[in-house]
Amino acid sequence: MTDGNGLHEITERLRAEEFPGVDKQLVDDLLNAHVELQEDRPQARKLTEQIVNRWIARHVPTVGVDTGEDQ
Amino acid sequence: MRLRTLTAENFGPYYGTQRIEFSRDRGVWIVYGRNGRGKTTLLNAFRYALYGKIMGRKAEREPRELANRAHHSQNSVAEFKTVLEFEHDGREYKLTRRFSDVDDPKHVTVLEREGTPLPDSHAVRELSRIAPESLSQFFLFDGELLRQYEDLRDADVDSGRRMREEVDRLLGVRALENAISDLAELHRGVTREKAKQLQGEKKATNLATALHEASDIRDRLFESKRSLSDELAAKERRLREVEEALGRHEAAQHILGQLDEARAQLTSLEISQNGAREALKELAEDVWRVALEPRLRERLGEISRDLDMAKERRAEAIVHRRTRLHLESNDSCPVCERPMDTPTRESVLQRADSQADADQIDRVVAGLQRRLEVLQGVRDATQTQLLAERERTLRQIDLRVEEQREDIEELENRLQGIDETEVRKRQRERDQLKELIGQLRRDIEATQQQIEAQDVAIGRINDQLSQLKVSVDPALQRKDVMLGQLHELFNAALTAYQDSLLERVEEEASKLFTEVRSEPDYAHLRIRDGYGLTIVDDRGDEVIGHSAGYEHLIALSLIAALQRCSPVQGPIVMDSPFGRLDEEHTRQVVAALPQVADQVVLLAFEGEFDRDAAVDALGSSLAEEYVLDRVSSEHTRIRTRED
Repeated sequence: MTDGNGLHEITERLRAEEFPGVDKQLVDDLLNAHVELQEDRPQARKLTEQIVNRWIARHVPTVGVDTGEDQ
Repeated sequence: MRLRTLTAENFGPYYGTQRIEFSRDRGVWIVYGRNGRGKTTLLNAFRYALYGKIMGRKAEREPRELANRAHHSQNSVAEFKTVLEFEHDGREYKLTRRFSDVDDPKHVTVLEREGTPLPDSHAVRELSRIAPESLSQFFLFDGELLRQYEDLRDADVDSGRRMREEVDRLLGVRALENAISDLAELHRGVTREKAKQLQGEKKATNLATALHEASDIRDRLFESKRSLSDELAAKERRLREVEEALGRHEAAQHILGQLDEARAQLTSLEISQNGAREALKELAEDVWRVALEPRLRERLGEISRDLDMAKERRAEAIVHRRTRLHLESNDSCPVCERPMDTPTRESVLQRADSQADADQIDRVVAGLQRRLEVLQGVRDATQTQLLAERERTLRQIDLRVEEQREDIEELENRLQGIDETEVRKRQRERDQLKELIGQLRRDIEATQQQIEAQDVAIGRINDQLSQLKVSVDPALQRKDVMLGQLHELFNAALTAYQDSLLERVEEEASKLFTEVRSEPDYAHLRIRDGYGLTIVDDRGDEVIGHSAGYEHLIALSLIAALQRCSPVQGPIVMDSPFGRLDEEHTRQVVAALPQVADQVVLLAFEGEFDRDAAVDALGSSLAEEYVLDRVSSEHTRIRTRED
């Protein structure tokens, strides 16, 4: 897809416009995992959890919030 | 994925080691071969190399059947091997598959990445990532498979529904749905954990308990949905297996269908036969009368004639009696009333007296009439015509019953060697599975609605909790927020992507279609929900009832569009895909092949299209031409056209 209407392009556009606080790399990683592991659901679930946990582990120490609204 | 080489060793007619090279990342490779040289087997070599499967016309084939016969007889072992070299995401892969009916296991697969063999489980994952088997039909197909795309237009056909699901998978819709589902599951875990932590907070206790309970309910619903989904997937897998097994007995199924119909017709004929026999039996006691019919007819004729004569005589006798009565008391003529002389009068009286008495004649007439009525009664009672009609009907039915029994016998003979009970058992299982699958789908939908309602409730509780500003583990809090946002983002992306997809597929399919169609007033294609495509003319009307050739063009246009719109791309191998196309359309499709996919391998028989025109039209896109040469019935050699 080269016209901006592909799966990745649409997701990225929405992320940038409506969810700028969501990390682009996190979204890409999740999307790639699911595109590539469509036929391996258990592995896709496991990888989703790993991607999210690793992202949290990398980012939370620098956030330091005590309530939900940190965006 | 980019193909580099395919090597087939003792695979079907490809005796020894045969190889095709794909030296470029883009282009069209044409493999020419006469019927029986092994084009379809070459398609199967690609299929076996990629997925370890070999397909027959309708179902998977036994690998043993594909072992080269010459090699088999020389070595007393049915074995073959394929090696596929390809590049994916900048890495070089070599996939080797080997079959031998004397080894254990019979199948061996080795996937090497950058020269290093991958562990089996890793190799399986890597292959399903690079070339998902469920999408094979979009990359390896023949003219027959193209016909299945017509089912996309029919929402009620099972094969159409399956095809739509596979298109969704190819286009990445399923990937987004899976991502949403997995993120939602993670989010639920976080919600549960958060509820546990909040229960320690006094001001949040009630809300935390409510959140905990709502999460529990939602979890149970989710588990229920997952269990139903697993059951659905298992039943669908089983249905595919049963349908594949039935596919191997397609001829038997056809015969069984005919047999059922023939038996039902026989039953119906036998009922009619019994009815006709009963009807004839009702008349049977009168059968003796039939023998009398000719004499009866003759006698009735005689009596009728006698009766007519007697009636005439009676009329005359009445006239004479009146004349006599008149002359006994008058001298005039009874007719003209003129005076009558004595001699004339005497003469007339004498003649009147000589006539039979009218009363006597009346008795004769009455007698004749009685005899006539009796004989007529006998004749009516025989109902000869009805009897003959019923006899004829019965004979016709007897004949049809006999023919039907012969047909059934012939069908039963054709079924010899086929386990009818087994085929029927599978047919019953297929029907039951279809019913069960329908019910499971409805149950899943209902459970999903309950889950969504519970999500709304959890969202409300979370909103209230966030206003309390109670503290929870920052990592958990961050994860909660992030997962919520990711879930929302992916949901929004799914909606936006699905909305744009139909438009995009329609546009891409129309582009190719308008290049290959010969009817200038066929303006473009229109897509419907479920990816079914129809032709729209230049007045904006949908074209109904176009030719089978155009169905073929639509299918090819859709495949090209799906390739362009899919995040999963790869080479296309097509075996004689021009089945229903005329010469002009075939030429146009060949010319448009470079637009269908980056690498296109076309397997065609000599004369399927004008080669010179194809070479001109393809120009530099034509990467290589191969020819399948017959060495013997057990040996086909692959060579480049220049060799």
